[in-house]
Amino acid sequence: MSSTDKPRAAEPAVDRWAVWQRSDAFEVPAPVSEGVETYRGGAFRQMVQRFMRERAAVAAVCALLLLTAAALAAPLLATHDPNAADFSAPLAGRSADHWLGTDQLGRDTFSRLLFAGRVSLLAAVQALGVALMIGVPLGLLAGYFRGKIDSIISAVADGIMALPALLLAVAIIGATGAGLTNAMIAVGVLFAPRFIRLIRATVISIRENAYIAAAVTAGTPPTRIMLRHVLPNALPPLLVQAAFTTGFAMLAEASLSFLGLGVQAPQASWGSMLNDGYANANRSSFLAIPPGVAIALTVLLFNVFGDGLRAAIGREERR
Amino acid sequence: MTDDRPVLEVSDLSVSFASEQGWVRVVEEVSFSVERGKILGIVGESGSGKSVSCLAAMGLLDSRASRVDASSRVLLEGTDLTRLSQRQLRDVRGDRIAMIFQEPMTSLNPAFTVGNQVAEGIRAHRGVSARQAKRRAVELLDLVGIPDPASIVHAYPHSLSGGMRQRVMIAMAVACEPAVLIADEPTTALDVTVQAQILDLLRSMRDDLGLAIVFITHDLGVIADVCDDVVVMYAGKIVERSDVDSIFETPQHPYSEGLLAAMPRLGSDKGALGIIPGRVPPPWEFPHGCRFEPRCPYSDEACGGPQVLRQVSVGHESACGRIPDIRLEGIVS
Amino acid sequence: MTNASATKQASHDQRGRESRIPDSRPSAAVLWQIGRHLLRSLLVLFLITVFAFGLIWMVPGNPASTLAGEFPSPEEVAAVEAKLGLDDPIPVQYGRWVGNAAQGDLGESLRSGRSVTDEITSRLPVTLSLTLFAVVFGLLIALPLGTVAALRRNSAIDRLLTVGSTVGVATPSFFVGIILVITVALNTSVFPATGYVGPTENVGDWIRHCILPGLSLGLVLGAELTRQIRSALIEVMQSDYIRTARAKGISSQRVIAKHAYKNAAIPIVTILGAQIAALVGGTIVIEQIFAMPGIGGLAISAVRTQDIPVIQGIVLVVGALVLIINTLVDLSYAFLDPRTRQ
Repeated sequence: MSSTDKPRAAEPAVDRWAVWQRSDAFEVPAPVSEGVETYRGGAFRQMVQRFMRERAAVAAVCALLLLTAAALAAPLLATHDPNAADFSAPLAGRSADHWLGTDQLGRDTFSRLLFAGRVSLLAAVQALGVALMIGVPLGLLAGYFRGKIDSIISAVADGIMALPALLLAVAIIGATGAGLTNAMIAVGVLFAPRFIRLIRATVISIRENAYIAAAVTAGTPPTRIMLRHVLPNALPPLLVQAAFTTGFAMLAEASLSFLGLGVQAPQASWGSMLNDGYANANRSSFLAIPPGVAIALTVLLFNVFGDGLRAAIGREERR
Repeated sequence: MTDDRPVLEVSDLSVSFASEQGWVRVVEEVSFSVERGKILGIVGESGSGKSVSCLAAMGLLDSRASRVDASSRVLLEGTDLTRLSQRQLRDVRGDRIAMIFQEPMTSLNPAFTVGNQVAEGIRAHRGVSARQAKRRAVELLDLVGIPDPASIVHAYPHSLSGGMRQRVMIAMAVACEPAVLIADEPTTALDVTVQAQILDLLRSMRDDLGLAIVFITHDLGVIADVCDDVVVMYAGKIVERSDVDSIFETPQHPYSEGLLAAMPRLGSDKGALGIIPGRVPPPWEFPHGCRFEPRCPYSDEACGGPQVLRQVSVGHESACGRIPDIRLEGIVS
Repeated sequence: MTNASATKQASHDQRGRESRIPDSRPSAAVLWQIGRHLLRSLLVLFLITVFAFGLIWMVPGNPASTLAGEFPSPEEVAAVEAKLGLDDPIPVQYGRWVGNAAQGDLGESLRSGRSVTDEITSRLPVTLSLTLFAVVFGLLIALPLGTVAALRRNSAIDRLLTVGSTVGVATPSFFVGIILVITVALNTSVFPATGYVGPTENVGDWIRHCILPGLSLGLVLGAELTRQIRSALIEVMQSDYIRTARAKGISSQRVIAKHAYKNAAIPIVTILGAQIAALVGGTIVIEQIFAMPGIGGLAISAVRTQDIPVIQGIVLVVGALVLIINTLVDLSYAFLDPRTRQ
């Protein structure tokens, strides 16, 4: 009997907890070089099955879908015009007419929350898109060609990751001017290194794989190798990172809009609504709560989704 | 102690682990004892419950994931360790009973110096000053044959070889001159030459300090080398118990015979080493009757019933129900 | 050091046992490691200067006419151009800017005309105080909670803490700040909702002003650290050397406080270092909420007025500070893990 005869048998029942609260929460494990598999067909289905067992994550996905649907259907669901001021009822409490009360201009908080949710979700997705559009190609380049290109790209990526993203975003907005699009481009650029690192690591581990070597010697062009072999393998960890990044982008959007550097009036996002709530905190202690809870809840859902995905692609069951 | 009462007497020790199937008994009614100045070997394959028995005796198992049955007794110099509180147990551990482990590479804390770790136990049990504890640590390192102890005392474990680390572990264990030392496969991870040196050291510790040693191993060669008495464990139970010579000459359990056949020997007239087919079943699949029956070449229908340890000759007990109908082959020295 | 003679003696040791004498001097490998860290830090510093300097070229259109304010006259544009030296070749401009920065001259604000260096140094203590309080609160929260969660793994309290820290990580620190303003600051006068007093003026007031903003950041930081400490401790507590320590008969408190914490410290310090950058980002917003005259407020007003020299200065100074902290974290490994010294 080995020295580790501790009771391991009790573990499986509880291990799922350990997995979804694994602490390196926002680090996505890069695939190891041995054991690289293509996630097509069976492996992908297996991953989906494992994900379905992560109950918290499945619930998070459902909630996110509901949230997205609510944001898309905002015009249908809203009880009031989100921008219609009613100076007779500023900062009204919750009532049958105004489910979440009104703001300092008498605008209906519930309706504004729905429309602002559209803006916040879209902004986060925009930032994610920018990050992917920059990160994936640069990661492929760095990982595939190595050498000097890799050194330069990796150094810049490490440099950006070492610095406060919010400060850099503020600085970029300082040069380019305030506005949601500028803000989300800046956030996207600053989050790109996460994807550069991830893709680069995947490419390097896959390049060492025998079948890629075979494809290279057979004269398959690099673009084809990347599309056929690299991207399918990188996809699961990419999804995990995308979930976390969307959450982070929401937080960044909220911060920047709160500071008045993101969304501009009359458009509203949850961050700018939070600013309204803060500005009127001495008159209404409730106004800040709905947008703040909305931000925290949505980011939480993205994080739980990401945790569950990571547990599903985790290596522990694929020995 | 001048009387020949054993310093450590384990009786009816049963241990269960929490599992998905509920509590599973991994060690069942194990009894053994060891006297001052003697070395008792516990031998068996992985999964036989040897380490668990000793960890349970020391009270080192995780209390949330395991439990020791109420009928168990662990008498150390007359005190029943199973009846002690965690606090009282702590005072005994490292003072009257100590333990060394299989992996000297990972058993020392990488973040503290060797001297610090040796002195720690002395300070905890003797309440001496840091300076005195350190002086004692240097003496102990010298005692276990570490060259230049005054300088090694400041070394971190990672700068020492495996053999040196195991010496440090031994120094740590004997720091308070315990009555009993449990050595859990202390040489398994070491080179053969280093292994021999560590065995020498343990023998001299027994002689110089009058230690009683419980030596856990899966290597019968080591048993033959250092032990006075042997307990053979299989699947959480003791299957044979005897003095070291008779178990080698006349094993009284098919499992012991299998272990002997699998032992590499110089000048063996047999060509190939024997192996025991199969492996130790997991605790929730232990057979009801003789637990070795599925792997046993001598099994018959009688083996399905419960097997108890009974005396087959003077000082020799076996749990095989087919003794003396079968004749087992030992090693004639 | 007498190690050389000790080594010789050991090699002559006739006991014939394996021995290796430790060397307490910093070895070549350590120096090389430190050198590599410094080299990497310098590279990042270079990238920061390039980024900060390049900000001016991100200004859309002709930077000078944009920066000269609304509807500038040609003279005003020319004045800005001259002030920023925009007509020189870019490498010359970069060299001049870095050269001046190295001497502590970060130029002048386009709006107030004051020295950027003075503006930043007068506000830096506020931001640093805030960061300090956040780290202290974060550790005060996370050390006990993370330890309890790790030791009572999978218990009800562990699950509760896990849910709590997961929620905490997702919550924006400025939302926490707003809630603290609404629930605490507006109802008591002990913790003011706005302002800042330096520790040199009045330590008590300094603490009172820093508690709520520090707590806003510290709660969120603490949530993340709780997760990290929990998993680091769980891993360490399963080590063989913890079992050895328990076998020695020392108390479980001591096993945790001495043996477990020091080994768990490396992952924890790493995470703390990585969180510093996020924390500094967080201070920008928190300073706004509590109306503290820190770097964040300076940055926001500079951004609103496109006061590029001020923004450049802030990026450079804050970037360099974060870099220094990260370098210190790297070097602390040598203290925490003796293996890296070898």
